[in-house]
Amino acid sequence: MKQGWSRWIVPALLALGWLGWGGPPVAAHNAFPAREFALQAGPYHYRALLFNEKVNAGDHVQILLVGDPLAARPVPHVGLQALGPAGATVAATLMPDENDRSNTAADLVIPAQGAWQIQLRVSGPLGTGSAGFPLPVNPAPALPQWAGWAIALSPLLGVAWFAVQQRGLMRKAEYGLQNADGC
Amino acid sequence: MSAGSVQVGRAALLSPTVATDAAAERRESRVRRVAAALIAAGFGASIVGVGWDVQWHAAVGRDSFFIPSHLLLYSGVIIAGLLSLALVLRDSRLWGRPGSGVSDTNTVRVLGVFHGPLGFIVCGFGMLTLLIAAPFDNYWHDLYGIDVTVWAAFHVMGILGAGIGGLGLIYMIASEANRAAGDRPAAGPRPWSLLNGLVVAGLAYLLPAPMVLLLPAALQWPVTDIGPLAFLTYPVMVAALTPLALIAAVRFTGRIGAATLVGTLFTLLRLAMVWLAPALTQLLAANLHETYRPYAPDYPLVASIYPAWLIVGGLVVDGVYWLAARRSGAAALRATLPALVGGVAAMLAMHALDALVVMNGWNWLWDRVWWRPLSMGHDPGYVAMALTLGTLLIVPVALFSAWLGKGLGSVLRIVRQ
Repeated sequence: MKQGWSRWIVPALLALGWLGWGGPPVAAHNAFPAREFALQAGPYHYRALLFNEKVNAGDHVQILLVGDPLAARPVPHVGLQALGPAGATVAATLMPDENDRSNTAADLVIPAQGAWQIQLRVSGPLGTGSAGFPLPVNPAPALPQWAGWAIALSPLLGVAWFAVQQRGLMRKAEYGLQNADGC
Repeated sequence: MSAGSVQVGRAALLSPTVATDAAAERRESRVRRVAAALIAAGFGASIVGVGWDVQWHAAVGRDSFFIPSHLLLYSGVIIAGLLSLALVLRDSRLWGRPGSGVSDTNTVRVLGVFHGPLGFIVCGFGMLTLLIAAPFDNYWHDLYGIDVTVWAAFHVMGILGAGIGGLGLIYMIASEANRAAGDRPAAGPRPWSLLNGLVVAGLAYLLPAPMVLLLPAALQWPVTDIGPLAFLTYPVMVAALTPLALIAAVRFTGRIGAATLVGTLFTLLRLAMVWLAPALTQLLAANLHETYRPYAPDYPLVASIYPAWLIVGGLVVDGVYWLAARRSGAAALRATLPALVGGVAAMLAMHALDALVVMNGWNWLWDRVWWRPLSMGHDPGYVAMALTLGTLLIVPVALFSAWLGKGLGSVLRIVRQ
């Protein structure tokens, strides 16, 4: 290990990166909502918390649906979709919210810019209803996410180079310490 | 001419040069120490600035790049960056000149042209990284809004730059400490001098910058899902960062107690940030007539994600070294096994204490702790898997971090450039 520790740097960094990255789970959203909409879908009242302050084409839109805790039982069935300017429709992936599983987290990817409408449809023992709110979508950014990450992580090359350079110094230090022990 | 008179003649010829060189090196050391002190002050401002900035973002928003917390943060960065650059340019100009005190014994060569102390070069690289990240981050916020997560590309780049800069600062002080110690052997305990103490303090304050990355692990993604598997994110990330500083401190000083000192210094900073970040935000928001956002946090955001039990972690590391030293003497402080065992044991102990706090609902200081969301309606099987896998993952991650800490501590003992 002492002789060839630099061999392990890249796999170890990759492993740590993999552990740290993990990828955002579908049901997770940002820490604080950017906007809130009160939705009255027939007899059902919901609050829709939108976690994106700005939405660009291709972005994941994160919405948290918070229902009335005193609402009818059984819990009504909820559907959410985005209606696009040219009749396009995108259905949201719905999951129990990671922070509070009595709420519903919605995740959807809006493919194109324009004036979109988010539509909530609820059906349950009290009947059915729908409500919505507008969602303006900007064009896709000139600098894509992957390019941003490539630039942002490029200093790691410098760190790796530095670590390899320090290998000799560490060997010298370890050698000195072991000699001090008479090993 | 007698042998004695030859000796006297040589001494008369050599002594003034040696004395001049020694005086020049002392002068050079003074310049570096003043620069390092100013850089440390800049870093201090930046650490407070980051805590304040995160609080400001969440409570008030990010209305422009020139918000007060950014100004504090980036003023520290600019001070550190400019001083590092200035010192490297100065030493490059002076290198090799007789009587300048700048030579290969106290500088390294970079890019074939520049000569400078390693710590200042590393710090300059870190600050350059951070400064390049700043406009990109601004652009990213323009694209994605004010609530871009901490795990966004250019936040990560900035944090990476801050971490590199912090490492550079530690190298600066360690090289000064080693040159001040003269030709003393590398082994054995170091005296508790100011410079050695500052290296230990530097290791404690190396942690706050990368620990900003823990925010989403506490607030947004407390559990990382990979296919059917799930593990707690926060303790695994803490295990990646913390043993490095604790083990490096013991390794550098050769003294039991250094890890506890790191834990104590970090905890003092944590307590300061508990008070500072919300107080500064409240004060400035009131003066600027800013209104709080509807979901503004009512607790110190950054301090709440700093590990609460680092003193205990330090005590565990020191305890493991103490037990090892009882068995095999002072050599245990330089051995690999106590470093690895100490690092893992410390992280498991901190994790267990966090669990105890959460299970008993003791939220007096740890509001919004990392797995509070798990208590809100998750399936018990899912929680058990996340907890078990999270605990198991702590072991290899802490082992790697402790091993890096052992290497860093060893290098810091001998770095002189």
